[in-house]
Amino acid sequence: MAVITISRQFGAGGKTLGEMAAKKLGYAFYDDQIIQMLASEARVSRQWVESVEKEAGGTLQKYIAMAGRKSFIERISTASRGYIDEEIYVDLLHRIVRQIAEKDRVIILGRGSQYILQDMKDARHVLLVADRVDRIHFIVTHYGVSRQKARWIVDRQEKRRMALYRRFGKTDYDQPSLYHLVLNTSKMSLAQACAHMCMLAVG
Amino acid sequence: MSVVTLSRQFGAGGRTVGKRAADALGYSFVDDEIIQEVARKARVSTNWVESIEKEAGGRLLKYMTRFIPKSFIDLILDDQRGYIDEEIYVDLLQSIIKRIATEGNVVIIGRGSQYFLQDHPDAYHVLLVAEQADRIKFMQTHYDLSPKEAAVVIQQQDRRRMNLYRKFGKGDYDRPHLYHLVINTSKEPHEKACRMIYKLVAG
Repeated sequence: MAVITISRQFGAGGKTLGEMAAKKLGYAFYDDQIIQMLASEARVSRQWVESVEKEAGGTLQKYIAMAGRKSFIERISTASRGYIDEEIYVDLLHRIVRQIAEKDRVIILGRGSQYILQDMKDARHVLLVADRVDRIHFIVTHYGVSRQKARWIVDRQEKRRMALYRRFGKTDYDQPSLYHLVLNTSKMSLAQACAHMCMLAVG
Repeated sequence: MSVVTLSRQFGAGGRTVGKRAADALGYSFVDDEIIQEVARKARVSTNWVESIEKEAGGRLLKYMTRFIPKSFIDLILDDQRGYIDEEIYVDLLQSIIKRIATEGNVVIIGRGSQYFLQDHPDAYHVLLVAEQADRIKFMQTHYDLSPKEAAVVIQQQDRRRMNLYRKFGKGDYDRPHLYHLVINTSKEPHEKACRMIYKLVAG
């Protein structure tokens, strides 16, 4: 009985692994669904949420650590038309990730969930790492893009991840101390990694 | 025939977990103090390693597993000069560790074995980390020290570890990319860590 968060370097196989482990454990897997949940809650289009995620910028830093700002939530619930900006995004993300976690028996991919749920007793936090060359290769094979495109994606995602976390005042997102387990998918197969992840959930 | 290298922050339970894992796997167990003692002796007499191997029927590992190192407390309380500031002969460490590895089926704690054996085809590299407060607590209970003594020992050992790696020219010894698995023993009990190592090796 647990909640597992997966944080990862892009191309280390987080989504694939998350789905595998969820299937094995009989858990629900949350990744992109979170976007729709945010969109529904804020009463905006999912495109708007996606654009907020893409453009995560300066103001985000002030709010990631905050649990919630009543005035904004009130504003959303009373407005006839929805609205979302970075501030509201973070508030809602905190709420929605916690809501998901309360269901128990879930695996959540990314979105700072390792921070949002860091004090949750039944949460287990996993970090996936892999060598850059392996991550590029993974993206080429799994997403069917050229090596050049894959390289660009890996670098861009890493830069975005770093910028995002830095603005939250978090630079430690690849530090083992945040996590229960760090799995190196350059050195083990996804099946092996999945087996270890599942060991976290059971006794 | 596999080798497990277990690197760890001091007080994360490396020896405890390593010994347990070795027993579970039916492997030999060689901890860092044994390697240190052997290196110290070998430095004194040039053909010492070869002569020991001859005596032990050609197997250095066999000799080393029978070796009883000084009790840990004696080492700590011993003449500091010979212990902390002693020159480490990197070549000697390397040759000892590589020899043990060829004899196979062994769990090796520390002494840079994760670096010396990083290209070994049948080596599994595990890192144990833990919060400083937990590491201090571990020292207290496991070695019956006062909180103050424990804190000092942890500090000493962390420095010693850093110095050892500085001699190799390595600063990345706590970074996940070197390892198959990183386990946080502040979050996962030793027993679980042991089972994960077993799973990694035995499949």
